[in-house]
Amino acid sequence: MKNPVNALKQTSARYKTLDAKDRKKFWIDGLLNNAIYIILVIFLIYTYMKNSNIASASSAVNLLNLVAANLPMALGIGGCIVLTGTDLSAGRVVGLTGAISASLLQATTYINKFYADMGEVPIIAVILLAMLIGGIVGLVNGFFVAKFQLHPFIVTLATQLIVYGACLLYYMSNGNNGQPISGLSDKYTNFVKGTILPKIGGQSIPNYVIYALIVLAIMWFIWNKTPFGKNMFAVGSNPEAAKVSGVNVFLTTVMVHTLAGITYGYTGFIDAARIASNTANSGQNYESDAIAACVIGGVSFVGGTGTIGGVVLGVVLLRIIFVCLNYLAIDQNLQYIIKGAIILLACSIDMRKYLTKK
Amino acid sequence: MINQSAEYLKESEQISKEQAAEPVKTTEQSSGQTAGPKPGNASPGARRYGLFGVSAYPERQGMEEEQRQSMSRWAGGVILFLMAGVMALLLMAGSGSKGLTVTFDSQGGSEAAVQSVPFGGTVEEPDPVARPGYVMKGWSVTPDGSQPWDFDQDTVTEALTLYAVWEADPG
Repeated sequence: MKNPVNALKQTSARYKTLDAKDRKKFWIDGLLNNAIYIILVIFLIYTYMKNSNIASASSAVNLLNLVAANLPMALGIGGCIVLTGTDLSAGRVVGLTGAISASLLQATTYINKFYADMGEVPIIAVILLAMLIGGIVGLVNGFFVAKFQLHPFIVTLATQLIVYGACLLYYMSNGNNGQPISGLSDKYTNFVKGTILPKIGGQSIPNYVIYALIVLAIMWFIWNKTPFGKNMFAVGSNPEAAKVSGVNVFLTTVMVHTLAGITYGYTGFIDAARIASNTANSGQNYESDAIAACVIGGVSFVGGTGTIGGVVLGVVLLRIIFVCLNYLAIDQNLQYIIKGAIILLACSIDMRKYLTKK
Repeated sequence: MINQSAEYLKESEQISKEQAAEPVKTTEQSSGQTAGPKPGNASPGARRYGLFGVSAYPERQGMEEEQRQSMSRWAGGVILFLMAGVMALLLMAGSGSKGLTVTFDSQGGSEAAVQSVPFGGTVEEPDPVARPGYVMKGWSVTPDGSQPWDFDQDTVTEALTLYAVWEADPG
Protein backbone atom coordinates (compact mmCIF):
# COMPACT_ATOMS: atom_id res chain seq x y z
CA MET A 1 0.00 0.00 0.00
CA LYS A 2 1.29 3.46 -0.94
CA ASN A 3 1.20 6.21 1.61
CA PRO A 4 -1.40 8.68 0.29
CA VAL A 5 0.48 11.71 1.69
CA ASN A 6 3.69 10.67 -0.05
CA ALA A 7 1.80 9.94 -3.25
CA LEU A 8 0.32 13.45 -3.11
CA LYS A 9 3.78 14.95 -2.52
CA GLN A 10 5.17 13.04 -5.49
CA THR A 11 2.30 14.22 -7.69
CA SER A 12 2.85 17.86 -6.70
CA ALA A 13 6.60 17.55 -7.31
CA ARG A 14 5.90 16.08 -10.74
CA TYR A 15 3.34 18.83 -11.41
CA LYS A 16 5.98 21.54 -10.80
CA THR A 17 8.17 20.13 -13.52
CA LEU A 18 5.41 20.26 -16.14
CA ASP A 19 5.12 23.06 -18.68
CA ALA A 20 1.91 24.99 -19.31
CA LYS A 21 0.52 22.62 -21.93
CA ASP A 22 1.16 19.52 -19.84
CA ARG A 23 -0.36 21.22 -16.81
CA LYS A 24 -3.56 21.83 -18.73
CA LYS A 25 -3.56 18.17 -19.78
CA PHE A 26 -2.97 17.17 -16.14
CA TRP A 27 -6.11 18.97 -15.01
CA ILE A 28 -8.27 17.75 -17.90
CA ASP A 29 -7.14 14.15 -17.33
CA GLY A 30 -7.80 14.55 -13.63
CA LEU A 31 -11.31 15.86 -14.29
CA LEU A 32 -12.19 13.16 -16.81
CA ASN A 33 -10.66 10.18 -15.00
CA ASN A 34 -12.31 11.13 -11.72
CA ALA A 35 -15.69 12.12 -13.17
CA ILE A 36 -17.51 9.51 -11.08
CA TYR A 37 -15.92 10.72 -7.84
CA ILE A 38 -16.73 14.33 -8.68
CA ILE A 39 -20.36 13.42 -9.35
CA LEU A 40 -20.41 11.47 -6.08
CA VAL A 41 -19.19 14.43 -4.03
CA ILE A 42 -21.68 16.79 -5.67
CA PHE A 43 -24.49 14.26 -5.09
CA LEU A 44 -23.56 13.94 -1.42
CA ILE A 45 -23.35 17.70 -0.82
CA TYR A 46 -26.61 18.38 -2.64
CA THR A 47 -28.41 15.55 -0.83
CA TYR A 48 -27.13 16.73 2.53
CA MET A 49 -28.46 20.21 1.80
CA LYS A 50 -31.87 18.81 0.92
CA ASN A 51 -32.21 16.07 3.53
CA SER A 52 -29.71 16.12 6.37
CA ASN A 53 -30.88 12.66 7.49
CA ILE A 54 -28.26 11.20 5.17
CA ALA A 55 -25.49 12.01 7.67
CA SER A 56 -26.82 9.66 10.33
CA ALA A 57 -25.98 6.26 11.77
CA SER A 58 -29.09 4.72 10.26
CA SER A 59 -28.09 5.96 6.84
CA ALA A 60 -24.60 4.49 7.22
CA VAL A 61 -26.00 1.12 8.34
CA ASN A 62 -28.49 1.22 5.47
CA LEU A 63 -25.59 1.76 3.06
CA LEU A 64 -23.64 -1.10 4.64
CA ASN A 65 -26.64 -3.41 4.26
CA LEU A 66 -27.16 -2.49 0.62
CA VAL A 67 -23.47 -3.01 -0.14
CA ALA A 68 -23.53 -6.39 1.60
CA ALA A 69 -26.60 -7.42 -0.40
CA ASN A 70 -25.12 -6.42 -3.77
CA LEU A 71 -21.46 -7.30 -3.32
CA PRO A 72 -21.45 -11.10 -3.86
CA MET A 73 -23.13 -10.78 -7.23
CA ALA A 74 -20.77 -8.04 -8.40
CA LEU A 75 -17.84 -10.28 -7.42
CA GLY A 76 -19.30 -13.07 -9.55
CA ILE A 77 -19.91 -10.87 -12.59
CA GLY A 78 -16.47 -9.32 -12.11
CA GLY A 79 -14.94 -12.67 -13.10
CA CYS A 80 -16.96 -12.72 -16.32
CA ILE A 81 -15.86 -9.17 -17.15
CA VAL A 82 -12.22 -10.10 -16.53
CA LEU A 83 -12.73 -12.63 -19.35
CA THR A 84 -13.98 -9.67 -21.50
CA GLY A 85 -17.47 -11.13 -21.24
CA THR A 86 -20.52 -10.21 -19.24
CA ASP A 87 -23.51 -11.97 -17.72
CA LEU A 88 -27.04 -10.81 -18.35
CA SER A 89 -28.74 -13.81 -16.75
CA ALA A 90 -27.72 -12.79 -13.22
CA GLY A 91 -30.85 -10.93 -12.15
CA ARG A 92 -33.24 -13.61 -13.32
CA VAL A 93 -31.21 -16.34 -11.63
CA VAL A 94 -31.56 -14.37 -8.41
CA GLY A 95 -35.32 -14.23 -9.03
CA LEU A 96 -35.61 -17.99 -9.60
CA THR A 97 -33.38 -19.13 -6.74
CA GLY A 98 -35.06 -16.59 -4.49
CA ALA A 99 -38.48 -18.00 -5.35
CA ILE A 100 -37.30 -21.55 -4.69
CA SER A 101 -35.67 -20.62 -1.39
CA ALA A 102 -38.75 -18.72 -0.22
CA SER A 103 -41.18 -21.47 -1.21
CA LEU A 104 -39.15 -24.12 0.63
CA LEU A 105 -38.74 -22.05 3.78
CA GLN A 106 -42.25 -20.77 4.45
CA ALA A 107 -43.62 -20.93 7.97
CA THR A 108 -45.40 -24.25 8.54
CA THR A 109 -48.40 -22.34 9.89
CA TYR A 110 -48.74 -20.05 6.85
CA ILE A 111 -52.10 -20.54 5.12
CA ASN A 112 -51.10 -20.05 1.48
CA LYS A 113 -48.07 -22.31 1.80
CA PHE A 114 -46.48 -23.20 -1.53
CA TYR A 115 -45.73 -26.82 -0.57
CA ALA A 116 -48.65 -27.32 1.77
CA ASP A 117 -47.73 -30.80 3.02
CA MET A 118 -44.04 -30.27 3.47
CA GLY A 119 -42.54 -29.99 6.94
CA GLU A 120 -39.53 -27.95 7.92
CA VAL A 121 -36.59 -27.99 5.52
CA PRO A 122 -33.10 -27.42 6.93
CA ILE A 123 -31.80 -23.97 5.92
CA ILE A 124 -28.40 -25.30 4.94
CA ALA A 125 -30.01 -27.64 2.38
CA VAL A 126 -31.89 -24.75 0.81
CA ILE A 127 -28.85 -22.50 0.54
CA LEU A 128 -26.94 -25.33 -1.08
CA LEU A 129 -29.82 -26.01 -3.47
CA ALA A 130 -30.00 -22.32 -4.44
CA MET A 131 -26.26 -22.25 -5.10
CA LEU A 132 -26.50 -25.51 -7.05
CA ILE A 133 -29.24 -24.13 -9.32
CA GLY A 134 -27.30 -20.91 -9.86
CA GLY A 135 -24.19 -22.98 -10.56
CA ILE A 136 -26.00 -25.09 -13.16
CA VAL A 137 -27.15 -22.00 -15.06
CA GLY A 138 -23.60 -20.66 -14.87
CA LEU A 139 -22.28 -23.99 -16.12
CA VAL A 140 -24.58 -23.82 -19.15
CA ASN A 141 -23.46 -20.24 -19.82
CA GLY A 142 -19.82 -21.21 -19.48
CA PHE A 143 -20.16 -24.28 -21.68
CA PHE A 144 -21.65 -22.39 -24.61
CA VAL A 145 -19.21 -19.52 -24.23
CA ALA A 146 -16.15 -21.75 -24.01
CA LYS A 147 -17.06 -24.56 -26.37
CA PHE A 148 -18.52 -22.58 -29.26
CA GLN A 149 -16.73 -19.30 -28.51
CA LEU A 150 -20.06 -17.52 -28.57
CA HIS A 151 -20.11 -14.05 -27.12
CA PRO A 152 -21.47 -14.24 -23.53
CA PHE A 153 -23.82 -11.40 -24.38
CA ILE A 154 -25.81 -13.75 -26.62
CA VAL A 155 -25.51 -16.85 -24.47
CA THR A 156 -26.53 -15.15 -21.25
CA LEU A 157 -29.33 -13.28 -23.01
CA ALA A 158 -30.74 -16.66 -23.97
CA THR A 159 -30.34 -18.18 -20.51
CA GLN A 160 -31.84 -15.03 -19.02
CA LEU A 161 -35.02 -15.67 -21.00
CA ILE A 162 -35.04 -19.37 -20.18
CA VAL A 163 -34.56 -18.74 -16.47
CA TYR A 164 -37.23 -16.03 -16.45
CA GLY A 165 -39.65 -18.43 -18.14
CA ALA A 166 -38.84 -21.11 -15.57
CA CYS A 167 -39.34 -18.57 -12.81
CA LEU A 168 -42.78 -17.55 -14.13
CA LEU A 169 -43.78 -21.20 -14.46
CA TYR A 170 -42.63 -21.83 -10.91
CA TYR A 171 -44.83 -19.01 -9.63
CA MET A 172 -47.79 -20.46 -11.56
CA SER A 173 -47.19 -24.02 -10.34
CA ASN A 174 -48.68 -25.79 -7.32
CA GLY A 175 -51.86 -23.72 -7.52
CA ASN A 176 -49.95 -20.58 -6.56
CA ASN A 177 -51.23 -18.75 -9.68
CA GLY A 178 -48.48 -16.16 -9.79
CA GLN A 179 -49.11 -14.86 -6.27
CA PRO A 180 -46.16 -13.42 -4.32
CA ILE A 181 -44.42 -15.94 -2.08
CA SER A 182 -44.29 -14.59 1.46
CA GLY A 183 -44.91 -15.79 5.02
CA LEU A 184 -41.35 -16.99 5.48
CA SER A 185 -40.41 -19.02 8.53
CA ASP A 186 -38.90 -17.15 11.47
CA LYS A 187 -35.83 -19.36 11.39
CA TYR A 188 -35.05 -18.32 7.83
CA THR A 189 -35.75 -14.62 8.44
CA ASN A 190 -33.61 -14.67 11.58
CA PHE A 191 -30.81 -16.52 9.80
CA VAL A 192 -30.58 -13.73 7.22
CA LYS A 193 -31.94 -10.60 8.88
CA GLY A 194 -31.44 -11.40 12.56
CA THR A 195 -28.45 -9.98 14.29
CA ILE A 196 -25.63 -11.36 16.41
CA LEU A 197 -23.43 -8.26 16.14
CA PRO A 198 -23.56 -5.43 18.68
CA LYS A 199 -25.65 -2.44 17.63
CA ILE A 200 -23.97 0.59 16.06
CA GLY A 201 -25.61 3.90 16.96
CA GLY A 202 -28.83 2.12 17.89
CA GLN A 203 -28.92 0.35 14.51
CA SER A 204 -28.71 -3.42 14.35
CA ILE A 205 -26.54 -4.93 11.64
CA PRO A 206 -28.12 -7.97 9.99
CA ASN A 207 -26.31 -11.28 9.67
CA TYR A 208 -26.09 -11.13 5.90
CA VAL A 209 -23.40 -8.47 6.30
CA ILE A 210 -21.25 -11.16 7.99
CA TYR A 211 -22.02 -13.65 5.21
CA ALA A 212 -21.06 -11.03 2.61
CA LEU A 213 -17.71 -10.61 4.36
CA ILE A 214 -17.20 -14.39 4.24
CA VAL A 215 -18.04 -14.44 0.51
CA LEU A 216 -15.66 -11.51 0.00
CA ALA A 217 -12.84 -13.40 1.76
CA ILE A 218 -13.48 -16.55 -0.29
CA MET A 219 -13.55 -14.62 -3.56
CA TRP A 220 -10.40 -12.71 -2.62
CA PHE A 221 -8.67 -16.01 -1.97
CA ILE A 222 -9.89 -17.49 -5.27
CA TRP A 223 -8.84 -14.47 -7.34
CA ASN A 224 -5.45 -13.93 -5.74
CA LYS A 225 -4.19 -17.17 -4.25
CA THR A 226 -5.34 -20.02 -6.45
CA PRO A 227 -4.04 -21.21 -9.84
CA PHE A 228 -7.61 -20.85 -11.10
CA GLY A 229 -7.54 -17.12 -10.27
CA LYS A 230 -4.22 -16.62 -12.05
CA ASN A 231 -5.53 -18.56 -15.04
CA MET A 232 -8.62 -16.37 -15.13
CA PHE A 233 -6.52 -13.22 -15.52
CA ALA A 234 -4.25 -14.90 -18.06
CA VAL A 235 -7.22 -16.00 -20.19
CA GLY A 236 -8.86 -12.57 -19.89
CA SER A 237 -5.67 -10.82 -20.89
CA ASN A 238 -4.77 -13.00 -23.84
CA PRO A 239 -6.49 -16.36 -24.32
CA GLU A 240 -4.14 -17.57 -27.02
CA ALA A 241 -1.03 -16.85 -24.99
CA ALA A 242 -2.68 -18.50 -22.00
CA LYS A 243 -3.42 -21.58 -24.07
CA VAL A 244 0.20 -21.74 -25.23
CA SER A 245 1.41 -21.53 -21.64
CA GLY A 246 -0.66 -24.56 -20.79
CA VAL A 247 -3.79 -22.99 -19.30
CA ASN A 248 -6.97 -24.93 -19.89
CA VAL A 249 -8.99 -22.09 -21.41
CA PHE A 250 -12.18 -24.16 -21.72
CA LEU A 251 -12.18 -25.25 -18.08
CA THR A 252 -11.24 -21.78 -16.80
CA THR A 253 -14.07 -20.12 -18.73
CA VAL A 254 -16.62 -22.69 -17.58
CA MET A 255 -15.46 -22.37 -13.99
CA VAL A 256 -15.60 -18.55 -13.99
CA HIS A 257 -19.19 -18.64 -15.20
CA THR A 258 -20.13 -21.41 -12.78
CA LEU A 259 -18.62 -19.49 -9.88
CA ALA A 260 -20.59 -16.44 -10.98
CA GLY A 261 -23.76 -18.56 -11.09
CA ILE A 262 -23.11 -19.78 -7.55
CA THR A 263 -22.90 -16.19 -6.30
CA TYR A 264 -26.27 -15.44 -7.95
CA GLY A 265 -27.79 -18.46 -6.22
CA TYR A 266 -26.44 -17.23 -2.91
CA THR A 267 -27.80 -13.72 -3.61
CA GLY A 268 -31.20 -15.23 -4.42
CA PHE A 269 -31.27 -17.06 -1.10
CA ILE A 270 -30.36 -13.90 0.85
CA ASP A 271 -32.59 -11.60 -1.17
CA ALA A 272 -35.69 -13.73 -0.73
CA ALA A 273 -35.52 -13.22 3.04
CA ARG A 274 -34.32 -9.63 2.72
CA ILE A 275 -37.30 -8.42 0.69
CA ALA A 276 -39.69 -10.95 2.34
CA SER A 277 -42.35 -10.79 -0.40
CA ASN A 278 -41.10 -12.42 -3.60
CA THR A 279 -42.63 -11.91 -7.02
CA ALA A 280 -41.57 -13.03 -10.48
CA ASN A 281 -39.99 -9.60 -10.95
CA SER A 282 -37.62 -9.98 -7.99
CA GLY A 283 -34.04 -9.61 -9.10
CA GLN A 284 -34.89 -7.80 -12.29
CA ASN A 285 -32.03 -5.60 -13.54
CA TYR A 286 -29.71 -6.65 -10.73
CA GLU A 287 -27.09 -7.49 -13.33
CA SER A 288 -26.98 -3.90 -14.60
CA ASP A 289 -26.09 -2.63 -11.13
CA ALA A 290 -23.44 -5.30 -10.71
CA ILE A 291 -21.87 -4.66 -14.13
CA ALA A 292 -21.88 -0.91 -13.50
CA ALA A 293 -20.23 -1.42 -10.12
CA CYS A 294 -17.49 -3.55 -11.68
CA VAL A 295 -16.76 -1.04 -14.43
CA ILE A 296 -16.70 1.86 -11.95
CA GLY A 297 -14.33 -0.19 -9.79
CA GLY A 298 -11.86 -0.61 -12.63
CA VAL A 299 -12.68 -4.13 -13.86
CA SER A 300 -12.11 -3.22 -17.47
CA PHE A 301 -13.90 -4.66 -20.48
CA VAL A 302 -10.45 -4.76 -22.08
CA GLY A 303 -10.01 -7.95 -20.10
CA GLY A 304 -7.47 -9.27 -17.66
CA THR A 305 -7.62 -6.29 -15.29
CA GLY A 306 -9.46 -5.81 -12.04
CA THR A 307 -9.13 -6.37 -8.34
CA ILE A 308 -11.46 -7.48 -5.58
CA GLY A 309 -10.79 -4.16 -3.84
CA GLY A 310 -11.87 -2.35 -6.99
CA VAL A 311 -15.16 -4.25 -7.14
CA VAL A 312 -15.86 -3.41 -3.48
CA LEU A 313 -15.10 0.25 -4.15
CA GLY A 314 -17.35 0.21 -7.22
CA VAL A 315 -20.26 -1.31 -5.31
CA VAL A 316 -19.87 1.22 -2.49
CA LEU A 317 -19.68 4.21 -4.87
CA LEU A 318 -22.69 3.09 -6.89
CA ARG A 319 -24.71 2.41 -3.73
CA ILE A 320 -23.88 5.86 -2.31
CA ILE A 321 -25.21 7.41 -5.51
CA PHE A 322 -28.41 5.33 -5.31
CA VAL A 323 -28.86 6.11 -1.60
CA CYS A 324 -28.58 9.80 -2.47
CA LEU A 325 -31.25 9.39 -5.15
CA ASN A 326 -33.47 7.70 -2.56
CA TYR A 327 -32.90 10.39 0.05
CA LEU A 328 -33.85 13.00 -2.52
CA ALA A 329 -36.96 10.85 -3.19
CA ILE A 330 -36.29 11.05 -6.91
CA ASP A 331 -38.85 9.34 -9.09
CA GLN A 332 -38.01 5.66 -9.70
CA ASN A 333 -38.39 6.07 -13.47
CA LEU A 334 -35.88 8.89 -13.55
CA GLN A 335 -33.50 6.80 -11.44
CA TYR A 336 -33.25 4.30 -14.31
CA ILE A 337 -32.17 7.09 -16.66
CA ILE A 338 -29.52 8.26 -14.20
CA LYS A 339 -28.30 4.66 -13.70
CA GLY A 340 -27.99 4.17 -17.46
CA ALA A 341 -26.12 7.43 -17.88
CA ILE A 342 -23.72 6.44 -15.10
CA ILE A 343 -23.00 3.08 -16.78
CA LEU A 344 -22.24 4.87 -20.08
CA LEU A 345 -20.10 7.35 -18.21
CA ALA A 346 -18.10 4.64 -16.44
CA CYS A 347 -17.53 2.81 -19.75
CA SER A 348 -16.44 6.04 -21.47
CA ILE A 349 -13.91 6.72 -18.72
CA ASP A 350 -12.61 3.16 -18.89
CA MET A 351 -12.36 3.41 -22.69
CA ARG A 352 -10.60 6.76 -22.60
CA LYS A 353 -8.02 5.50 -20.10
CA TYR A 354 -7.38 2.54 -22.37
CA LEU A 355 -7.00 4.72 -25.48
CA THR A 356 -4.61 7.21 -23.89
CA LYS A 357 -2.55 4.51 -22.17
CA LYS A 358 1.03 4.64 -23.40
CA MET B 1 -5.82 -0.84 -11.67
CA ILE B 2 -2.94 -3.12 -10.98
CA ASN B 3 -2.73 -6.22 -13.00
CA GLN B 4 -3.26 -9.21 -10.80
CA SER B 5 -0.75 -11.54 -12.33
CA ALA B 6 1.63 -9.13 -13.97
CA GLU B 7 4.58 -11.50 -14.01
CA TYR B 8 2.57 -14.33 -15.30
CA LEU B 9 1.14 -12.21 -18.09
CA LYS B 10 4.52 -10.81 -19.10
CA GLU B 11 5.66 -14.35 -19.55
CA SER B 12 2.63 -15.27 -21.59
CA GLU B 13 2.87 -12.11 -23.70
CA GLN B 14 6.44 -12.97 -24.58
CA ILE B 15 5.31 -16.34 -25.73
CA SER B 16 2.56 -14.74 -27.77
CA LYS B 17 5.07 -12.36 -29.38
CA GLU B 18 7.27 -15.26 -30.34
CA GLN B 19 4.21 -16.93 -31.75
CA ALA B 20 3.04 -13.79 -33.47
CA ALA B 21 6.46 -13.07 -34.96
CA GLU B 22 5.83 -15.27 -37.97
CA PRO B 23 2.40 -13.95 -39.04
CA VAL B 24 3.43 -10.33 -38.41
CA LYS B 25 6.05 -10.56 -41.15
CA THR B 26 3.53 -11.84 -43.63
CA THR B 27 1.13 -9.01 -42.81
CA GLU B 28 3.83 -6.40 -43.32
CA GLN B 29 4.57 -7.85 -46.71
CA SER B 30 0.95 -7.93 -47.70
CA SER B 31 0.07 -4.50 -46.27
CA GLY B 32 -1.60 -2.47 -48.97
CA GLN B 33 -2.90 -5.61 -50.57
CA THR B 34 -5.92 -7.45 -49.41
CA ALA B 35 -5.02 -9.78 -46.60
CA GLY B 36 -5.37 -13.42 -47.43
CA PRO B 37 -7.52 -15.68 -45.30
CA LYS B 38 -4.50 -17.19 -43.59
CA PRO B 39 -5.07 -18.32 -40.02
CA GLY B 40 -3.77 -15.85 -37.43
CA ASN B 41 -3.38 -13.14 -40.04
CA ALA B 42 -4.28 -10.23 -37.78
CA SER B 43 -2.97 -6.68 -37.89
CA PRO B 44 0.67 -6.23 -36.73
CA GLY B 45 1.21 -6.84 -33.05
CA ALA B 46 -2.49 -7.39 -32.56
CA ARG B 47 -3.81 -9.73 -30.00
CA ARG B 48 -7.16 -11.29 -30.29
CA TYR B 49 -9.16 -9.62 -27.57
CA GLY B 50 -11.03 -11.87 -25.25
CA LEU B 51 -12.20 -15.30 -26.05
CA PHE B 52 -14.66 -14.34 -28.65
CA GLY B 53 -12.83 -12.62 -31.47
CA VAL B 54 -15.12 -9.66 -30.86
CA SER B 55 -13.56 -6.91 -28.81
CA ALA B 56 -15.54 -4.69 -26.50
CA TYR B 57 -13.12 -1.92 -27.42
CA PRO B 58 -11.37 -1.13 -30.70
CA GLU B 59 -7.96 -2.59 -31.47
CA ARG B 60 -5.56 -0.09 -29.93
CA GLN B 61 -2.30 -1.39 -31.33
CA GLY B 62 -3.50 -1.41 -34.90
CA MET B 63 -4.83 2.12 -34.65
CA GLU B 64 -3.09 5.21 -36.06
CA GLU B 65 -1.93 7.65 -33.39
CA GLU B 66 -4.10 10.39 -34.90
CA GLN B 67 -7.20 8.22 -34.89
CA ARG B 68 -6.56 7.21 -31.31
CA GLN B 69 -6.24 10.81 -30.19
CA SER B 70 -9.36 11.84 -32.03
CA MET B 71 -11.28 9.01 -30.41
CA SER B 72 -10.02 9.83 -26.93
CA ARG B 73 -10.97 13.50 -27.46
CA TRP B 74 -14.47 12.32 -28.37
CA ALA B 75 -14.53 10.12 -25.27
CA GLY B 76 -13.53 13.16 -23.18
CA GLY B 77 -16.37 15.16 -24.66
CA VAL B 78 -18.85 12.37 -24.01
CA ILE B 79 -17.67 12.12 -20.38
CA LEU B 80 -18.18 15.85 -19.84
CA PHE B 81 -21.59 15.73 -21.54
CA LEU B 82 -22.76 12.77 -19.42
CA MET B 83 -21.43 14.38 -16.24
CA ALA B 84 -23.34 17.55 -16.97
CA GLY B 85 -26.43 15.55 -17.94
CA VAL B 86 -26.46 13.44 -14.78
CA MET B 87 -26.01 16.50 -12.58
CA ALA B 88 -28.67 18.49 -14.42
CA LEU B 89 -31.12 15.59 -14.00
CA LEU B 90 -30.27 15.38 -10.30
CA LEU B 91 -30.79 19.08 -9.66
CA MET B 92 -33.95 19.20 -11.75
CA ALA B 93 -35.49 16.12 -10.16
CA GLY B 94 -34.21 16.94 -6.69
CA SER B 95 -35.74 20.41 -6.63
CA GLY B 96 -39.08 19.18 -7.98
CA SER B 97 -39.49 16.13 -5.74
CA LYS B 98 -41.75 16.39 -2.72
CA GLY B 99 -41.08 12.94 -1.36
CA LEU B 100 -41.94 9.29 -1.79
CA THR B 101 -45.51 8.52 -2.69
CA VAL B 102 -47.49 6.36 -0.31
CA THR B 103 -50.79 5.21 -1.76
CA PHE B 104 -53.54 3.47 0.15
CA ASP B 105 -55.53 0.61 -1.34
CA SER B 106 -58.61 0.17 0.79
CA GLN B 107 -59.50 -3.13 -0.98
CA GLY B 108 -63.20 -2.40 -1.35
CA GLY B 109 -63.56 0.21 1.39
CA SER B 110 -63.80 4.00 1.16
CA GLU B 111 -60.87 5.92 -0.30
CA ALA B 112 -57.84 7.29 1.60
CA ALA B 113 -55.72 10.18 0.27
CA VAL B 114 -52.24 9.70 -1.20
CA GLN B 115 -49.34 11.01 0.94
CA SER B 116 -45.86 12.31 0.09
CA VAL B 117 -43.31 11.24 2.68
CA PRO B 118 -39.59 12.19 2.77
CA PHE B 119 -37.13 9.29 2.69
CA GLY B 120 -36.81 7.85 6.20
CA GLY B 121 -39.99 9.56 7.41
CA THR B 122 -43.06 7.95 8.94
CA VAL B 123 -46.49 7.72 7.33
CA GLU B 124 -49.36 9.62 8.93
CA GLU B 125 -52.22 7.28 9.71
CA PRO B 126 -55.04 8.11 7.29
CA ASP B 127 -58.58 8.88 8.44
CA PRO B 128 -60.47 5.65 9.14
CA VAL B 129 -61.86 3.96 6.06
CA ALA B 130 -65.12 2.04 6.11
CA ARG B 131 -66.49 -1.03 4.35
CA PRO B 132 -70.01 -2.27 5.01
CA GLY B 133 -70.12 -5.64 6.71
CA TYR B 134 -66.41 -5.62 7.66
CA VAL B 135 -64.22 -4.51 10.54
CA MET B 136 -60.90 -2.80 9.79
CA LYS B 137 -57.91 -4.72 11.16
CA GLY B 138 -55.21 -2.31 10.05
CA TRP B 139 -52.92 -1.46 7.15
CA SER B 140 -50.41 -3.86 5.67
CA VAL B 141 -47.59 -3.81 3.09
CA THR B 142 -49.00 -6.96 1.49
CA PRO B 143 -52.58 -7.41 0.24
CA ASP B 144 -53.03 -10.52 2.40
CA GLY B 145 -52.12 -8.63 5.58
CA SER B 146 -49.03 -10.72 6.35
CA GLN B 147 -46.84 -7.64 7.02
CA PRO B 148 -48.76 -5.09 9.10
CA TRP B 149 -47.57 -1.46 8.94
CA ASP B 150 -46.74 0.26 12.21
CA PHE B 151 -47.45 3.98 11.75
CA ASP B 152 -45.31 4.95 14.75
CA GLN B 153 -42.26 2.80 14.02
CA ASP B 154 -42.01 1.94 10.32
CA THR B 155 -40.18 4.37 8.04
CA VAL B 156 -40.54 4.79 4.30
CA THR B 157 -37.56 3.83 2.16
CA GLU B 158 -39.35 3.47 -1.19
CA ALA B 159 -42.63 4.42 -2.82
CA LEU B 160 -45.17 1.95 -1.50
CA THR B 161 -48.81 0.96 -1.35
CA LEU B 162 -50.50 0.07 1.93
CA TYR B 163 -53.45 -2.29 1.82
CA ALA B 164 -56.41 -2.23 4.17
CA VAL B 165 -56.96 -5.54 5.97
CA TRP B 166 -60.61 -6.46 6.63
CA GLU B 167 -62.28 -9.06 8.75
CA ALA B 168 -65.94 -10.02 8.19
CA ASP B 169 -68.10 -8.39 10.85
CA PRO B 170 -69.64 -11.15 12.96
CA GLY B 171 -72.38 -8.86 14.32
